Amino acid sequence: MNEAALIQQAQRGDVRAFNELVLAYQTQLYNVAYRILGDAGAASDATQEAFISAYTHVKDFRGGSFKSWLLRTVTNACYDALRYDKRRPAASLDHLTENEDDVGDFNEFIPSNDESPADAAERSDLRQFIARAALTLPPDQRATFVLSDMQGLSYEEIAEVTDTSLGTVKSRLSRARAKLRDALLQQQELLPDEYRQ
Amino acid sequence: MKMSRMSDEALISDYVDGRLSGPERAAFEARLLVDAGLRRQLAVTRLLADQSRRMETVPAPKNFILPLDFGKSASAAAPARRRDWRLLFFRFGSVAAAMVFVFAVAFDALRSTPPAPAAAPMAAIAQATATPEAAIAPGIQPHQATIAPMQTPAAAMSAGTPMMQSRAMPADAMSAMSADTPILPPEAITVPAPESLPSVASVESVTITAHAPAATAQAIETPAAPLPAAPLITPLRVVAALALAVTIALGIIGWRK
Repeated sequence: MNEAALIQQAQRGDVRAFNELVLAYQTQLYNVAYRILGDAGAASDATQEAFISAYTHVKDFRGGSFKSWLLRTVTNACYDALRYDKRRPAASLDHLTENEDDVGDFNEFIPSNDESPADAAERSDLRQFIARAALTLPPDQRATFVLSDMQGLSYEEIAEVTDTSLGTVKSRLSRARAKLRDALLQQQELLPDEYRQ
Repeated sequence: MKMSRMSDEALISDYVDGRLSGPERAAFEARLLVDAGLRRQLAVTRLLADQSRRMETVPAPKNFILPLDFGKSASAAAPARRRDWRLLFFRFGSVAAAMVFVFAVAFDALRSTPPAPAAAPMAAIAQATATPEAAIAPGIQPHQATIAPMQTPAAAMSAGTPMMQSRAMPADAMSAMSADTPILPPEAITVPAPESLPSVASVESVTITAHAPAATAQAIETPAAPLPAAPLITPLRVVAALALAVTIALGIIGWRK
């Protein structure tokens, strides 16, 4: 059954149809929440809240990209979690490398097929650093960076998800990248040889 | 300097994403040829973007599907709506009680303000007309002291009073306002200053203005009684106190979240 039909059935109160949509998008929504919040439990809660909210308000969906609409819901849930949840204050960039053994809730990163084992191990450390450093960004920049560079959304999709203009998306993304780039430049040992000075 | 840096950040980010126009891209690449720092920033930004996109997808720890009776049972949405209506009621009630409190206090304050004693000047005038000397007699009442400027010249002179800034009213003018006059006209009464008194030579007239409603003859003849003390507890104040209590109680309930 196609997505439009499932959405229409969900709008009529069909939970089964909505659950089909949940199964289709739950991994992506969970990953967005996980990268924004940096905690598996909090990400799970935010994802569940997002789906409940989505079902409650699915009648308000007036067409367009359902994926963007769901991503907006989960992003808002993450903002709420960041705003009200004081259990996990943002870490400082200075402490990112002090406890490298403690990877926290981050799972092991699976190397891509085009990397050698040595490169993969090196890149794994680099990706862990990037993921942790992203958690130090302001929420709006963090969400934009996650949606763009980790989830591969276009500027237009991000603007729709975050309900902002294209210019704001570009500005937030460039600032986030600049901060993370500066953080990387301070960690020469994590950079490949060709990037070291 | 900061503007340049911000501009470079945007340029690098847009260049990495291939969002620079032809001329912008050419200009940026021309700068890259001569600026090693910019080349390094671009390279690390590309590495950052590349590694971020290669990040592994984390599997969801569970299915987030909803129970099939989610929409049918009275869970989720309906209780939330009821809670919202209750909160709305409490908040609206709190605001309404606060308004009642404010109005009650304001109205009470207006009522507690001592009114201008309209009958007192009339009575004093009548008394001064009847017995001019009595107006300055020892033991004069506080409200009677207000008529000192209207003493007769003879009385004032006999008592040694310096004519209260030369604004005393002649006795013949005062006699026109006898107790037989039932109503004191609200407009000003202007009387000529006596020419025979050297102390009032510079005064041409005296103006008495009565703003109060006209008093009856009985009121003129009867000296004004002292104002009774306002009671501490009035129905209005009870209402204000109750409204304040309701405001606080509903406010705590409605806004404690």
